[in-house]
Amino acid sequence: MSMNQIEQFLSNFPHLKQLVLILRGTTDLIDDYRWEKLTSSMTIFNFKFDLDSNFPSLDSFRTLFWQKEKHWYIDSQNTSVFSVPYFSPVHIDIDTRSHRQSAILMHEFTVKKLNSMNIISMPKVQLLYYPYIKNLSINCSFSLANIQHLVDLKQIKYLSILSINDLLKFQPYKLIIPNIYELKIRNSVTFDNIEQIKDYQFEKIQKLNISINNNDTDLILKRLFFCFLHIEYLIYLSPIDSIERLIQIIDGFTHLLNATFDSGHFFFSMTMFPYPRFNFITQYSQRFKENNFTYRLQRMPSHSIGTHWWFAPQVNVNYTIKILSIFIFLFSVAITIIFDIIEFTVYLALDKTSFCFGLTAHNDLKNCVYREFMKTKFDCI
Amino acid sequence: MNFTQSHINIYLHAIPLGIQNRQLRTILFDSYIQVLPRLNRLYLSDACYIRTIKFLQLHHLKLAYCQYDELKDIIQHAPFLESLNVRLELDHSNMHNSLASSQLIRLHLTIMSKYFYIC
Repeated sequence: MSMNQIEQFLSNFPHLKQLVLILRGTTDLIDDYRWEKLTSSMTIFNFKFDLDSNFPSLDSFRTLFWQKEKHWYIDSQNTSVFSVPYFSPVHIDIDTRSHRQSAILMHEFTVKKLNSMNIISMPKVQLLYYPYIKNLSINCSFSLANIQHLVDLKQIKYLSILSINDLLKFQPYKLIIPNIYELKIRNSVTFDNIEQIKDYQFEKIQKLNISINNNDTDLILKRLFFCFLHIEYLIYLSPIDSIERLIQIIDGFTHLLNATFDSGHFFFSMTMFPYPRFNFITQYSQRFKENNFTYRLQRMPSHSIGTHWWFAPQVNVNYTIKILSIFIFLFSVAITIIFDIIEFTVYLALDKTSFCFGLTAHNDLKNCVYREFMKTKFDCI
Repeated sequence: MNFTQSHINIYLHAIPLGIQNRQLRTILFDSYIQVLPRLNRLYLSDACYIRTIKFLQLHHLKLAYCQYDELKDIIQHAPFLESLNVRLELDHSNMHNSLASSQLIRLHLTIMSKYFYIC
């Protein structure tokens, strides 16, 4: 779509006040003068143009007409030009070609809306600071200082790194990335990798996306169970070689509520004969019980077959004891109150009796009966 | 159902385009044909059934998919249309056909050309 064509099209609507345009076109669309003429009587104008090649500059869109008179702000990313904040993107890719100039041009509205960053390679020059990034993927070697110059790590909730050893660069991680919730390790974890972090526990991480090396699987899993104690959602992308392995993983992550396994042909056979396998699972697992889990087949992003599992939360023994203690305490308080009410009723009854019979000097008898009642009560207790 | 109100919305965009559903859509449009000209606001998945209907009271129209010639007919039949939200497939060869509307003040336009599709 060219500027001539869009001018011809919009001439059909001479009284437009509000216009939103999304189209793909040629670089001649970046013509502030012609757009000024087209939109001078409009109150709202938002657009997103995906251009067929790079464009020279957006400076002409930063004139008095655009910014002071209309309050329309324009920004760009790669070959896309758009109004902000209406079309501000939420994701940004960073690589060595990312340069300071484009970052400076990036408008404040755009920076605020960006919440996801993918670092393909570390930029050669210092870029703008992105304090609102929550999802961070790092696909290259890095230093903590480099990352801290780009993003506010305290905001990070999702972190994707190449190697599990990269986690050590964020130490002490409770201070550096205190709000992390989800971790993805892109490369398979080896025994050497895991040995370097075996003494650390990452309690904050509740969702883990991981694959492990086929060698030393038992040892690696044992270390993972310790390091990632509080995992509630596991995405396990290594081939599962047996149902025993699956049971080992699910039993090992004791807080697990959801799990996804990318498992190829193994689960296909399990689905063909579900009932014997189901019994096998419940028989050998500490976690699986008759009615506390379910699963379904699903297509994985890699187009292989996977399974997704749901588990009922495990009952916490300490929690149960606390609830039981509270119940016993409340029960004892209730019993005491009931006895006190009975005691008070008897006392009133005796008092009323003495009044009815006009016996004004029967206090001794009344007290005597009361003492007998109390004695009986405490004997019972 | 009372169709006498002029601001009834019709949402048929969720119906898939399978053969059986095409029959269903035909039945639905046969039912709606009486009320469509009285509508003030209309939201449809496409325009293939409404090209010939006169929308004399229509002020707001949203079309999830439409071709240029279809839009031209609809605009001709909806003289009081104020607001149009449309994903338009544009064949540059028929762009010379005028689809003028003097009343339109709000336009939300996504153009999918024959060669470039934007979501």
